[in-house]
Amino acid sequence: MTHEIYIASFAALGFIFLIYSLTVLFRIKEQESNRITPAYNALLFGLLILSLSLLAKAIKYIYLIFSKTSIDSLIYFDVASTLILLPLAAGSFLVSMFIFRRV
Amino acid sequence: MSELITQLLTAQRYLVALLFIIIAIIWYRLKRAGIESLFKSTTAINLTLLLGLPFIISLLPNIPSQISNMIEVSGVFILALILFIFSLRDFHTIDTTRKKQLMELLEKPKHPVALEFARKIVEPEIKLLKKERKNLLQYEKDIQEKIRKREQELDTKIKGQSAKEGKFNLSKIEIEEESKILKEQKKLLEKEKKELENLKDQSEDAKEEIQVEKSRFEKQREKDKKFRKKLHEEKLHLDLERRKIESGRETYARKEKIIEQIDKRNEILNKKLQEIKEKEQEHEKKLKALEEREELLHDEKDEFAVARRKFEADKEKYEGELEKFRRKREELLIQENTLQEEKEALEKLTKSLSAKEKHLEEELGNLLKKQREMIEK
Repeated sequence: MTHEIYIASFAALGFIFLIYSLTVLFRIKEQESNRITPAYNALLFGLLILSLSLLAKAIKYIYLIFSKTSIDSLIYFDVASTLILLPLAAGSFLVSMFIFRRV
Repeated sequence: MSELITQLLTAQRYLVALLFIIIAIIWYRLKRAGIESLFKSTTAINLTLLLGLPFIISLLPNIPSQISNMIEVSGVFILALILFIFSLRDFHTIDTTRKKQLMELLEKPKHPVALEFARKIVEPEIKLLKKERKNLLQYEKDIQEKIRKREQELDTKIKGQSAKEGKFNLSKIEIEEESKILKEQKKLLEKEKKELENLKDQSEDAKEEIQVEKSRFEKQREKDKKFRKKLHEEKLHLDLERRKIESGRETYARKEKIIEQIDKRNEILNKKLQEIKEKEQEHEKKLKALEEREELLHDEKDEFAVARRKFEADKEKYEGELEKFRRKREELLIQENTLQEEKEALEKLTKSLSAKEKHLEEELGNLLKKQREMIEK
């Protein structure tokens, strides 16, 4: 049980800090030069997707803590976080790198 | 179904790790190429890309799934925390420097960023002042309406009172009672009047406050006007600058066109120069050939001169011989003339001889005829 609590709390806190840092980075982006704005946008999008993936994980483990029984349908949270959102985030990071290369 | 999904999940994790490794390599190459010069601070981006590290570590072999999950989530959490702190710090440093720059623009308004300053700092203040002005005007209107309503109420009450006075003139008691009531009502009216006066005083105070606010507002307005004038001047200046830049661009474009034309002409000239060089080379070759020919001609001329001298010598010889020949010819001609004369004489002789021969033949014929006649006889 402690394992689930740790993971849920870390994931939730990670999500919150990522969102906070996303807002700060968004404000930093406004003061950066316009040349790197598209790449920066892609990077921030990736960060947002990564934070959503963490949120999905946090929800899954919170559900596990309160239900106290493992449910098969919870695998869809893994599908959302690891199968869809995480590769999407990595892909957007990759796209941002390619845009940086063009700059 | 769930097994398939778990297999897919593990495959996707490997894919994500691979993508993060590729991203790290590209970022390292970009940093070597000097991408950092474009950013004010790259720590935020470094930390953002470092978020992939827990996902790579969690895929290391011989780690239980619970621990790998723990590593993944805790790593992301720690990195997110660090990212938040560093990004906040960077933002503060960048923002303070930016604000300083913008405040410096107040002293130096002839700067293109002055407009941005006006937009970000002055415009919200103007909006707030406008809102305050609206509120004050509304407050003034409300107070005026309240005073008007009170005055109307008082008028109606006074009218009612006067009507009551007319009705109650019939009996003294009633009048006394009425007078008592009236006194009480008068007291009330006085109280109300006092209240009204207080309200009037309050309204006057409010008016004074409004006037003070108005004067402040006017001052602010004047300041705004001045600032707007400045902004307008700046705008005009910027427009002039823009026009200059546009004209400069146009001239630059024209010059570029001229340069292009010059380049084209240069190319053509270069081609012509090459052609001329080639022709020069050809001419040089021809000149060399001509020189060689001239030398040959000189040689030939020398030879010719020698031959000419020989020829002249020969000619002199031949002329001598020709004179000799002429003399001989004249002699021969004289001889021919003499021969001709002799020939003519001979011909005359031959003619005379033939005439004599004919005469002889006739005489011979005659003789023969005479002989025949004689024979016959």
